[in-house]
Amino acid sequence: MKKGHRFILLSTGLLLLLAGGAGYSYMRSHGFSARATPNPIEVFLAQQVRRLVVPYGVKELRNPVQRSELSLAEARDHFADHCAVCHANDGSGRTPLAAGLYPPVPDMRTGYTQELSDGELFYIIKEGIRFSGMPGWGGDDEENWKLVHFIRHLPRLTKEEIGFMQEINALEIAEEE
Amino acid sequence: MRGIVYFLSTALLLAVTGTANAHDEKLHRGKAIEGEVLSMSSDGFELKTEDDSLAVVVTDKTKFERGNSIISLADVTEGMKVKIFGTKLPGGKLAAKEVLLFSGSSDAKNEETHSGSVHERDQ
Repeated sequence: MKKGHRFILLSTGLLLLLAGGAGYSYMRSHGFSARATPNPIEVFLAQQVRRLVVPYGVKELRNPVQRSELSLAEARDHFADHCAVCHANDGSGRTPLAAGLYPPVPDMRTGYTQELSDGELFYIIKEGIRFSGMPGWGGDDEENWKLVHFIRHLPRLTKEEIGFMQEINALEIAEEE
Repeated sequence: MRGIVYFLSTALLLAVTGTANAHDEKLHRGKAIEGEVLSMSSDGFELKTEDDSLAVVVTDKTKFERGNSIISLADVTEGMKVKIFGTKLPGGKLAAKEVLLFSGSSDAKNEETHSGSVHERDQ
């Protein structure tokens, strides 16, 4: 092996070792709590990975379900029943359960989620996000597409709609008791 | 041999209980709204509840039942007592998923049977 190549190889190995050691030391001193706030690098990497894990062709999928008052209302009730426990009725992610999740639950009303395509949202609902708290729900495709409409509607959710969702929340609690 | 018998018995039991009921369990999710049919309209009917009245919208997916029989919107008339599972729409309307009809003493018995099975499923 040439001297220069050996130097590069050794330097890279040493750097990786130092980085690994620093990382290990950091974890041992700070812990690995799910309640920590991700640093900007981690956030950036997570966002890029989230886009990369969506298979070819999914991003371009268009919502085949017609948006209507009824389909939105059905998705609203579905969201209140299955999703609000982590995402909150308004999609803010401000729930007791979400406070302890890592990666953090996003505020779905903002660009971070709203900039995803319909296909990406559909895929995340159906397949989940590995190594996160987002489960892959599977389920009926039509219901999932209706949820995509509802997620798009979140920034414009009305007080009346939140009231309807709270009725569903209360029903869920009553059934559990 | 015993395992096969147990498996077949279980499968048969599940098949029988699954087909013995005319209802889709998912439709009974949620709280039912009870009331009396005030008037019929082009897309459903007006319902008088204990507190108020509301417009009930019927869609092509709405199911109508009386006891364990499947019926249709044509069987709904003014004065009938109904129990509705549905989705609330903005503005106060209710999109009906399932409309359970009962009127008169003969239907009251069917209603008890239905209500009992609904109650069991909701649990």
